[in-house]
Formats: sequence, structure tokens, C-alpha cells
Amino acid sequence: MTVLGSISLLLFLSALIAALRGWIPQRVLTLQSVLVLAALAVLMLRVLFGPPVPWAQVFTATSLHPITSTIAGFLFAGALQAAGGFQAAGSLVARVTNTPLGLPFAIVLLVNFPTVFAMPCGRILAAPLMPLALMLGFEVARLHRDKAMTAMVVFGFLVNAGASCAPSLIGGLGLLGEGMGRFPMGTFSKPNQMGILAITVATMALIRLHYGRSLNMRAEDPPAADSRPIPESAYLSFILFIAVLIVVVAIRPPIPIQTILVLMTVVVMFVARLSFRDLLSGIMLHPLSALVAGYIVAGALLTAGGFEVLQAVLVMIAEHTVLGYIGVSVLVVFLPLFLAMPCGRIISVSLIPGVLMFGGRVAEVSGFALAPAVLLSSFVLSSAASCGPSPLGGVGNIGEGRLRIRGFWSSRPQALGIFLGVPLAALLVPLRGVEPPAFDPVFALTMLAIGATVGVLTNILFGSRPWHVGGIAGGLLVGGLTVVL
Amino acid sequence: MKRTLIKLNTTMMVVLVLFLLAIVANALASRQPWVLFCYKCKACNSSCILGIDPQGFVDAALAGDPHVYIYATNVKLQLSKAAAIDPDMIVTAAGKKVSARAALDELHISPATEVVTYQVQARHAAGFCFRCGACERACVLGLPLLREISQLRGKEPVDASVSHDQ
Repeated sequence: MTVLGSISLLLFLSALIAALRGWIPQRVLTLQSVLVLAALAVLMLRVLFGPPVPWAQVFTATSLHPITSTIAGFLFAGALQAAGGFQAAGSLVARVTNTPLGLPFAIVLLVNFPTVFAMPCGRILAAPLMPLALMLGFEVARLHRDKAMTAMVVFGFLVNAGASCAPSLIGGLGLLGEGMGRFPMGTFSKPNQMGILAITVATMALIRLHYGRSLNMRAEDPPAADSRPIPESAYLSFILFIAVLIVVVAIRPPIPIQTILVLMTVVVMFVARLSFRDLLSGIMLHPLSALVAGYIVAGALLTAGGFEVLQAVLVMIAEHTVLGYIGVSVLVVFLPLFLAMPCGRIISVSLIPGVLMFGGRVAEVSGFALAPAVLLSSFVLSSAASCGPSPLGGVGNIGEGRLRIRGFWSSRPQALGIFLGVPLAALLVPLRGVEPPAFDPVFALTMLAIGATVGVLTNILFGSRPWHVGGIAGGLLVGGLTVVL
Repeated sequence: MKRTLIKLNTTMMVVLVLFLLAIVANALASRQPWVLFCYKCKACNSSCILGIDPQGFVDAALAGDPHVYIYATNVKLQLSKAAAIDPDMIVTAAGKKVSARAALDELHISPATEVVTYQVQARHAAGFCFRCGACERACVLGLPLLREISQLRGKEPVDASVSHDQ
């Protein structure tokens, strides 16, 4: 544990807390500026302590993939918006809600959509589907005269999207854990998907039961729906989007998802005769710049040994307090929530070696051989989901921006939801095992049962009867799709 | 917001943009533009028999620096050879993860002792690599990792007789 690392970690935490608590007002220094200045201070300290700054290490902390995914997602969202794709989706949802399935079916399906079609970065689906979540949220809030329901749908959807990179088999965060832990590809995918269903419903429940009371949402209700007929190109654009998603998840083509999104954007532009200016309406710079700032400060901390200090402190606590290795393991799993970064990859890459070490020690102490797998899977899910509540440009910020909510209000319900949902994934890892994934009927039935339970809970949360067919059918469909895909 | 603060905050935004541009420029300068597409998912990691993290080669290209330290956790070689290749190479010796230099000078481990590498420079990892192509096959995007490995080997071939655990 070095003095430089300790000072750097303290400096980073102080800057972060000062920005989040408003001690450094946003009107003076934006969060991005605070982070960049903290990174510069850490790098200057590094120079003062002697060795030159290893710039390469600062660069390697950055992962371009979430950045480019967000840009591609925003561009496609802009194209879909301009083409009327969301109006078409809204009209399709309205048709569904007029059937006996009703709104609960649409809500269960939409909020869990990112996990079913798990993309390597949650922002890929969060950006284009956000208008649909808003549309559905405002509709259900209008019906029940409860504004908190808008937030329930939006943040349920966003925490689901944020976490959805954990089970993605096309380059998600789960693969990072499996790769570093040398587990077969896809080992944690299904348990994590079930954990995300639990996280989503827990977040919605927390908003409904507690946090909704303190919600100060300044977004106005959307204007009445345009009575003009929706053009065929709008339906075509939306259906194309869904069809491509299904193909991508089912066959996993070796093409970067960003390329696919940009190509789809071009197709939608061509079909709906859009201009480049139409695309720019979907772009939001804040989450992007905060994401880059988060990477820079993480790189600076890495060079200064900040994460090594963190790991050393955890080992010290495990060896010298009553918590022991098992107690500290629980802390480690939820560490990404306390240090919620805009992308879970930042903390995962730095801490997974430590997680594996803790897993090994827990296995020794408890005799439970699967402890490293359970711990790693939980940590990966917690890490992936932590971009939801992260105030540093996390995916939740997109919702707060759209609903005009101040003070990072959504962070707490999302973080608590993650806290409640991760243990379900941990419980399912031993049931699933760590052998190469194969179809397991018992596990498939478990997933269907969890899907149905999520459906019942969603029914209750949105004011329907618990046994309303819509929520249960939606939950079963979500569970079934996660089994099949 | 006051004008000075606007200037300061704008400067910080410019820093962010320049930082991203530097990464893109490094990737292009390394003549491996495909590294920009890497998901950094480490699906390649579990495929390497030498325990090399092939994503480290991508990092080396993105940083424009073959000296970046990357994981290589299953390469066995003599401590003296490890120190000759790179004294700052991290090895697992006597149950500890230390630099080859520290293993010799501080832990006084015999130079003839066989140690296992832990973190090595990307160029040295490329030298150890058997070029079996398992990492390319494991990559979800099928990225041409061997191309970068060959380029790194070309810069500074490593003459190391290494072994590994099966």
C-alpha cells in the first residue's frame, strides 16, 4: 500500500463526494470538470512522487466500446424518432393494451427488453427505446394519476438496460468476468438475467413504496398524440429495428454492434427520407462526456495505485476484523455500487483479480468449491448494473435528463434494487453449475417461474390484480425468451 | 456561470475530446485500426494456454506503446531469464507476486529457480506467444489479434525458452 495510492484514492473520493453532495456546485464546475481536474491532480502527484506518468496505462483504462455504442444508439434513436418509429411502436403498444393483456403485459415486456436482447452495452437499447419507455410511463401515470409510475417504468427500464451488458454473449461484461476467471463462456449469463429481472422489479417497487414520495419531476406530460396517420415507413423502421435485434442476439454475427446500428440508421434515413440534422436530435453529450471523464480519472487512479490500495484495505479488514473473508466478500460484491462508475468495466478490470483471490479464500474457509464462481458472477452483475445509479454519466442520467429530475434522485432506488436483486443471481449459480452451458429443463422451469413471479409483482405494483393475465403472460414470455435466446 | 468558469469548463471538455482523439490516433498510427472495435470483453482470455490476456495487445495498440504491462499467468521460465528479459516483469515466486528484480535482490531467490510470469510487457508476451490462433477463434468479433502479435514480435523478438502447465 503506497502513500501515493492512498492520497490519490482519498483525493478522488473527496472530489466525487464534493461534486455529488453539491459542495462544488454544478454551476461552478461541472461533474466532468471536477473529474478531469481530480485526474490531473492525481497525475501531478504521481510526477511529484518521482516516476514519470505512464500515459499508456491511462489510455488502457479507457474502453471505447461503451462510448461508441452510446453514440451509435443516440444516432439510431434520432433516426427512429424522426421516422416516426416510436409513434408506430406506441400505436402497436396501444393495440396490445386494448387486448385482455393490457398495460401490465407491455410494461413487463418493455422494462425487461434489454435483458432479453442483451447487448454488449446497455446504452445501445436504452437510447433508442427511451422514448417508448417515456410514452408508456406517462400513459400508465395518467391512468392511475400517479406521476411516480412514469419514474417506475423509466428507471425500471434503465436499471435493466444498465445491467444487461452482464449476460450479453456478444461482448458483454459477463464475458469479461468469465474470461478473467477462466470459466466457460456463458456460465453466468442465465443466472445474471434472472438477477436482473429481480433488480428491475425491486427498483420499481422501491420507487412505488418509498422513493416516489420525494420525486420532483419537472417534465411536463407529453402533448396529445398526433392524430395524423402514421406512415408505413415508421412501422417499417421499428419492425426493422426489432428484427435486426433478434437476428443479432440469435446468430451473433462477428460484426461490431455499432456498425450494425449505423447501417440501420442509414437504412431508416433512406426509407423515411431523413436528413443528417434529424439524427442529431437524439444526441446527449452529458452521459458521453461524463463517461470519458470517468475513464480518465480511473486511468489516473490506476497509475497511482489507487485500486491496489483499495484492495489492500479490503484484505486488511478481512484479516483483522470480525467480518473475515466471507463478510468482506459481500462488501467486495457491492463495492461497484459504493463507487458507481459510468461503466462497470472500469472497476471490473481493476478488481476482478482481487475478487478471484477473495473467492479462493472463501472456498478454503467454507469448503464451498463454487465460491469463486458465485462471488465473481455477483460482482460482475453488481458492476454491470452500477452504471444505472452512477451519477458520473451512468445510464440512469439519461432518464433523469429526460424527466428533468435533479439531484441524482434515481441513484438510491436503483442501487437498493441492485442490492436486493444480485443475491438471486448468486443463488442460481450453484443450481446452474459452471460446466459449459447446455439446456437444463429444471433451470428452464426455474427461469419461467421467476418470469411469472416478476409478472405477478409488476401487476401489483401498477395497480392491477395480482393474477392479471397481462403481467403473468409478459413475465412468462420474458422468462421463455431468456431460455430460448 | 461566470465567463472564467465557462472557459475552464470548456477547456475540460476539450481535454476529453483530445483524449479520445489521441486514442484513435494511436490506433491508426499502430496500423491496427481494428483495435477500435474491440469490446474488451476478454472472451479471448480464457483460450490462451500461456495465460496471456490477448486484450493486452489491443491495449498496447490503443496506447501506442508496446511496453504496456499485460497479464501472462502461465509462462514458466528461469528467474535469471525473466530478469534478463525485463527486471520489472512481475512473476510469482515463493508464493508472492514481485518483480523479477525484487525476487533476486530482496527475496534472494536463486536465479536458476523456475518462476511463473504474472504481468509482462506486451512486446514480451508477443514473444512468448505460440501463435496458435485460439484467441482469434474465441473473439466474438473474430478480430485479427495475430496481426498485432506479429507486429509486436517483429519489433523485438524474444528468445525465451518457456514452458507452461497443461
